Amino acid sequence: MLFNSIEFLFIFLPVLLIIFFKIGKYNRRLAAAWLAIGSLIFYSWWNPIYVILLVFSITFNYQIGRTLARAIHLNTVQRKRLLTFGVACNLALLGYFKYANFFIHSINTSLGTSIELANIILPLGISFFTFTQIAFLVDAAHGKAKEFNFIHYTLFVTYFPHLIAGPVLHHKEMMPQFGLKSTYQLNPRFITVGLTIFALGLFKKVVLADGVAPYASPLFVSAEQGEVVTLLQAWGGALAYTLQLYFDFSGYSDMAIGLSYMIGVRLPLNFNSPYKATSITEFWRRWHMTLSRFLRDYLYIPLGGNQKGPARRYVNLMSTMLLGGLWHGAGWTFVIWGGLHGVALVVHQAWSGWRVRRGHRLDHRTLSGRAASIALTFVVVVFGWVFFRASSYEAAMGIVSGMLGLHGVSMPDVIAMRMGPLAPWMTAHGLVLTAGGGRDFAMTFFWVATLLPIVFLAPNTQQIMQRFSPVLDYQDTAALTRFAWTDSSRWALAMAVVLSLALLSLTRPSEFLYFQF
Amino acid sequence: MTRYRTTWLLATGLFLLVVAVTNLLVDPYGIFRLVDSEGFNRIKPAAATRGPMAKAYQVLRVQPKTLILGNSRAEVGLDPNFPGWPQSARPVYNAALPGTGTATSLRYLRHVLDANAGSPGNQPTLVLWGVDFMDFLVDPNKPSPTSNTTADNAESNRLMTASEGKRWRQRLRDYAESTLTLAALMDSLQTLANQRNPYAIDLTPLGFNPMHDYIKISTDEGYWSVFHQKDLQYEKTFERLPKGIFSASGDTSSHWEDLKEIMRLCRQHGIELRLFTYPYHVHMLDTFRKTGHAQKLELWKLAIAKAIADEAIASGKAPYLLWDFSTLNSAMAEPVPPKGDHKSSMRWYWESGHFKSELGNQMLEQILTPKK
Repeated sequence: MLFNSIEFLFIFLPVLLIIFFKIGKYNRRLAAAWLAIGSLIFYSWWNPIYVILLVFSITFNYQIGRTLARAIHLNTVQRKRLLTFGVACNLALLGYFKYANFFIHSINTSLGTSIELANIILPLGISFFTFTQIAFLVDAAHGKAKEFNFIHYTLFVTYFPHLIAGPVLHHKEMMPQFGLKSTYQLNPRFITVGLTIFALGLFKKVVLADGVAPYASPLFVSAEQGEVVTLLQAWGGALAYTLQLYFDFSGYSDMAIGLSYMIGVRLPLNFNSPYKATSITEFWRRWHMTLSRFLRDYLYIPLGGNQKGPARRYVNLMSTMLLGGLWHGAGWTFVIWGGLHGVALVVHQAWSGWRVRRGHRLDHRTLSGRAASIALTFVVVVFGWVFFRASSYEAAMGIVSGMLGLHGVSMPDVIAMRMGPLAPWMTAHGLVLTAGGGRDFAMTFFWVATLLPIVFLAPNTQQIMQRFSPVLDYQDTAALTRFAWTDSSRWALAMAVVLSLALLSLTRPSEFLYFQF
Repeated sequence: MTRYRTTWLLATGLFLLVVAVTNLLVDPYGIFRLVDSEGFNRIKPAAATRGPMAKAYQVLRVQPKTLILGNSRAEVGLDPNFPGWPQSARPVYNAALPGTGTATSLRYLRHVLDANAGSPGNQPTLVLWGVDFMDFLVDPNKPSPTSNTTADNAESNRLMTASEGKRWRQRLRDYAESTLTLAALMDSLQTLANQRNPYAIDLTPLGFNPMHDYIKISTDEGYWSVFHQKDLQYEKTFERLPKGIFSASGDTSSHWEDLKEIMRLCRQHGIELRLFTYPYHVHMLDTFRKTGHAQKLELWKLAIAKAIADEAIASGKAPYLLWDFSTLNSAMAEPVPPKGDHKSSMRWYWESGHFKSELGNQMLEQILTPKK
């Protein structure tokens, strides 16, 4: 079930919450169990069989984790072995479902073999529930996991707001919240604020992301078919995808935060206006923050982090980013994407190091310097997304060369016709005019021009909702109160427009393609 | 915070209500037809691209005496308001749908027949069906897909052939999506903005697409350009199409089965079925030659004639009538104005695949007054 589906919004959510708060009045354990069952139903909507897998994974990890934390008779070696066993089982499960096909395909391509494997369907959210539980095992082994209530544990893993698309939760921040009495009491204030955050997220997803999406895909489809893409087409599509991905993913995270807030449970922040980052390092502190945090704590730091000299630090960074790339999807394009970010991070770290040695103050920036840093970071990220989205290396390179201008510049003739005297000048300088596609071309740049100012200038959801600290461990003390939400009538009307537009965009009448015309 | 919540939810409800009422009245897809007023909402630019939805509901409202079936060639070429239709054949509904083949024609015929099952007096008495060579092409080496007229998709579920439950759900969905969506609101605004635009694309209440948009395209770009673009496109499409007209299993395929079934249904309901082939412009015939389809076209016509004759023998009734408009004549050879000529118009064709209703009217004259 998706948050932006009618059955979730109008059936699942109200029923789940009403029963939850009713039970919560009398029995908190039962209410928590109901929330966990509800979350499993939410998950099973997509494919009931995989609920068994999820339940197995939870039971297994809970048992191992508890043994690791509580069995005093285990010595360090035994503890380490048990932890390795637990982590290996999780990785094996993830490896089988997510990477087996990729692995076999890579072998077949490089060795010319034709080994076949039944097509494995990736269980939804497997990367998320595997990662959260690996973190739990590691912390349990180090004595950092304190609470072992099975219902709270199950709820922490299955908790429906985060189950499918994150944020990547941490047991330390979630399980105590499930123990609070206030979580089980209906609080109209939490419902209102949560619903407001949810509406903002829904708007970002169904109006903005789904609105720009149709102008991103055609570029990647033509590149896959080996068609040559020219400069404007390549940039239009790549920017459209950059915006689609951000509004889609951050909108989804906002919805998760809002849903959880209705129950009074705060989730960690996942996006903090990432495209406003002035460096690639900062970008990763703002984009999919809970994943970055996980990779830092459970991969980068265990590898040695920055404690073993600059060379080792760069190797650790690269390894983390390459694996992080592979985590996003089983394909070489994802590895390349991770690699690109790894290189960018290494370059940025080296550059900053060099500047510090020269006595520059990194926090001193002019406005134009800031703008240039944001622009440079953004351009690197856009190039990265091309690899992230393209289905093959060849397709990605086709688009990248288009973006670099290697395939020339073209434009629909109807657009050129409206440019007045500029058109003949441009055609004289190599602009190629193409027939058809004028509307899509214009719409692509209309959407890009509308959404870019939002990602660069507008406050984000938690800045708007700052008075209610909707997320954990994040306090934006910067002014911005001008845009901060209050329960005024003006905000009520503005939110009515936001919610109506979002509800009106949940679905659209099926369109018919004239394939003979 | 209570006041905020109340204001917020009430305003949202009100906003949604305003949108729903606007869409209901403007009716961009022509499925409600509560208000039909010239200068307000008569022209339906958004309905033209949503034929399957619009026509499924419209055809039941019209209760036609004559039903036109076929693909886009029939949709834009055969005018239900042609003055030559005899009174007894009116109202005429053009249920032809772009990009569809024999299976859809069969489905829509069943849809109309099932809708009037209880009242035979409301059944159509005449069916005109444009059979297209392109729709019969199959790869003899591949198993022929069987015509699935009960597929579980929106296009099947809204027809009378679907179970009542499915139909009810689909209708609810269509009505909701035509009123309570932003896309419908944008289409309503587009509808309002285009009422005085003589070149607006349209789908009339009788299912006809008059191709007004092509008048502008052909003057802006010139007929040469339109023909050229379409010819290239058709060639690319036809290259990919199979070259056979029968499956390996014998002289049949799902398309021939659809043909038999349509003939059987018409016989069963006492409907007069008149079939015709389309007048392809010579550019299109030339494309058939280039892509290796030309000879098959002739064989296909013979096979159609044979199927009709076989049915007549089996039923012991007079054979259905078939008009062959695909044999070269002067209209089909109408010269295309030269490149750069944006002034000259063409009398019979929009482009090589689609004839104008002027030619369609001539065809109708022949079809409606058969020489015994």
